[in-house]
Formats: sequence, structure tokens, C-alpha cells
Amino acid sequence: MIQSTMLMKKAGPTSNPEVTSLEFFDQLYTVAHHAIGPRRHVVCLRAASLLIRIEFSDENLAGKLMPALRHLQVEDASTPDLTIYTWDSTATGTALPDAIWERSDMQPMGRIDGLDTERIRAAFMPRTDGFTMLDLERNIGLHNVPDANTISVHQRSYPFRTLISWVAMRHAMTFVHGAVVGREEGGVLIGGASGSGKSTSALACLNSELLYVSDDHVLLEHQRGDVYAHGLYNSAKLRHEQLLQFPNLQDFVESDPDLDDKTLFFVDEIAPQRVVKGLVVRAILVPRITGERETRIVPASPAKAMMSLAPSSLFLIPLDQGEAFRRIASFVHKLPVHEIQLGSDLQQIPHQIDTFLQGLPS
Amino acid sequence: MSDVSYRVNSPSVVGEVLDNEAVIINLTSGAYYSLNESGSAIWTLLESGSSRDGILGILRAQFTVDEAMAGRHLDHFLAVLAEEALIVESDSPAGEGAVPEQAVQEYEPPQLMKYTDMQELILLDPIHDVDEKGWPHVKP
Repeated sequence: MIQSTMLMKKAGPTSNPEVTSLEFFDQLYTVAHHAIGPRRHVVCLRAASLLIRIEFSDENLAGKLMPALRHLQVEDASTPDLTIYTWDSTATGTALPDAIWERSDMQPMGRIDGLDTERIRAAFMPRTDGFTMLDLERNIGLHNVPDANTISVHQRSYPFRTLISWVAMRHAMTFVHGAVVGREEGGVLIGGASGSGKSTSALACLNSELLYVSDDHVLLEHQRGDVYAHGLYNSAKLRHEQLLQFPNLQDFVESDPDLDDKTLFFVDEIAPQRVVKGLVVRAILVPRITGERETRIVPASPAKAMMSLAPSSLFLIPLDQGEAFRRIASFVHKLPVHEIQLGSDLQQIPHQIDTFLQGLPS
Repeated sequence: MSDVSYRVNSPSVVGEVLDNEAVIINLTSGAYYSLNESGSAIWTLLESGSSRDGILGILRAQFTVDEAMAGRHLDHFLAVLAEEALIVESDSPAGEGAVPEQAVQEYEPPQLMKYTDMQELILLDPIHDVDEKGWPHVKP
């Protein structure tokens, strides 16, 4: 159960950021403590090397956020690297403390000027009403959901993304916006912003012999001389119109086309034997949709890989951007880079990737 | 033009040179950039704190270009970098740039390619309405 000392002093974020941010964290921690009562639901996960314990305020909230993480579930996390307390304000009838920021402090992509310190991180979740705070000294994360019954398809597909990424940075892992598929000996990292063809490529591989790590988010680290990609989420998203290209996925849709702006799947229901928790990365592929039928893989410059990976990764996660940029550059320096020119015949994509991987020097 | 020193506008700006091609991100604006070979050489020299005249001298040693043309191109390029808030004038004493140990190369004027797709994505993030306690809510 949560134990904390509640400090009620109210101050703006600019008066003394270190003290007021910590005080505000403790106010919110106390709210979480009241919200997470006897109906709480506790889950333990191993995400890469991180042991994570999550206390949900009730099973309904867990039911919304856990499907994307259920493949990482473990029995016990008695010494967690991160403990997350998450609560549904509507279901628990709990009110949030008064905000200590001004309207003008709220920046695009969830940043709040003046609230972050060396110890405390805070952000709103872009495109949702979720709010996240982390105390890096106590390894405690707080995640507020205004109403679990109206939670967005984005929150369901990558729950706690910001919290996990912040903690992963402290453990030498770096959040990267990319898909990873491959063979047991190693795979390819497919970079690119939304709409570049990452998910199309990764989901096309579910119909093949290739292994699947992620269509969208991975944690990368240098491991024994290699670059290793850890998958985080068991989810995949497509734009609604792309579903026509994947008739085999239509029975697995987990979203509501009238309410959600993307179509959501959980890949362990589609091809459980293909989903793996991670792979060594042997090359970076920069996707480009050509409009032609054929898919080809051709050499490309490291700068193309950097432009494909860095901006979209850095702007999805507030803070630590300078360090994340340097780390992404270190991955790019280490790996060969090619462009995957994506054609309309989706069956060619896994075939071309497989042939490409087998042609790489071992 | 008198000698001026610049520095990279960090921490708002991060950059990396990969195979003679620089990739730069302005973390404040969301815009990102790539530079051609001569532009990347200039960026490397700016990162090491070289002055305008120091950069010009090294450009002339590294590329087949006369001083007047290189000077005009360099001044224009520095002005563009400053306008994009990628560099700022520096009071620190200029460092000594070094001529890379490589053959003299064909010269092309330094160029900056700007990409705004992430900037557009950031601006698309729905700025929230704020309730009476100051908490934001996504506009329906």
C-alpha cells in the first residue's frame, strides 16, 4: 500500500521548482493512496530488464490498460525498479489537487514548463487526458486516468509509455519509435514517423515465418557489442482504411471504428507463436511507400536512418531528449542502413526482409 | 565582415554528423534539418567553436573554392542557421579548427534542408481546455 507524507504547501512551479514539484508529487501520491483502496488490482511485469509493479484502482481500469502488456506479466516483483499507482478519477470519485502551473506553462506534447526537476518528471499524455508523474528517487510513478470508460485507443495501445521510458533511460535503454521483426539470429529496426509504413511492414510479417517484436515502440540498448531491441507492447494500430489490406486481421479488431481514430489489435491473439520479447538488431530499414507493386531493399545513408528514427522518437517522449538523441546516433553509427521501398503486394515485404537478413554477413 | 564566433544553440539544438551528413533537431520548434557535405563540415567546425574566419580558412583548404565565393556562401549559411535558431553568437574565444586529413573535395555551396512534419504533428496535438482547478482536458 502507498505510504507517504503529504505536504500541502501551494506554490507556483517557478517559485522553487525542486520543492514545489516534490510537494505536488506528494499531494498527488496521497490522492492515489485514497483512490487505490480495497478494489485495487495488482499486476507485476518484466519489461526488458525492468521489474514493474502496477497497482490499478480497480479491475475495470486494469482491463483497459493491461491487454497491451499481458505478455510481460510475471508472478512477483518484490523488488521492483518501478512501482506505478494508477487510478480512475471517475470510478473512485477522487478529485485531483489544484494545478500548480499556469495555462501558459502547458506545452505541446505534454510538457509542463517549470514542473520537471532532476528528481521529478511530469507530463500530460498527448491526445488523451492522462497525467503522469515520476519520482526518480523513490522509483514511484503516478498515472491518473480521468475516466477508464472513455480511455483512448492510444492509451490502451501504449499504457505507461512515458513512465517506462523515463525509467528505462536510467537503465541504459532508450525508447525508439520503430518496428522490429526478424529471425532468431537477429532482426531489422524499421524507423519512421506515423504513416511511414512501419506498422504495415510489421503486420505483413505476421503472415510469414518471421518473428515479431513490435510495430511501433521498442527499447534499444547496447548489449555485448550488439544493439538489442526489447518489445514493450503487444498491441498494433492501423488507420481504419488500412484494414482493407489485412483481411486476416478483421476478426481481431479491439477498437470501435465510430469512437476511435485508429484500429487496435493485440498481436498475441493473431499469431502468438510469432511474438517474441526482443531481438538483436542487425540493420536499420527506412521505409518509403512507393505506390508500385514490388518491394525492394536498397542501401541508404546513415543520415536517412537518423532522420527516420530520431525526430519521431524524441517528440513522443518529453524530456531527456538530448541524451536520447546521442544514444540513437550511437545505434545508427553501429548498424548498416537500407531503404525498404514498400510496394502494394504486402506478401513481398516479409519475403524481402527475410532474404535481406539472410544476405547480411554473420 | 569582422570575425565573429558562434556556438550551437544547445540544449535546444542537437546534431550529429554521420558519413559527412549532419542531422540537426531544434527541440524547441520541432523542426529538423539535414546538411550537405560542405554544410556538415561547417557544422562540425561550429561545434568545435571555430570563428567565422577560422571556418573560412578550413573550407578553402578542404574544398576547391576561392575565398570570395566561399566567404559569401558562408555568411549566408551562418545567417540562415542563426535565423533558424540553430546557432547563436558566442562571446567565448574561438577554438582552433583543424583541416581534416582527406583529399581536397569538389565544392558545393552549403545547404540546409528543413523538415517540418514533426513540427506540424506537435502543433496538431490538441491544446487542452483547462478546468476550474487548472487541469487540462482534450477538446472533444
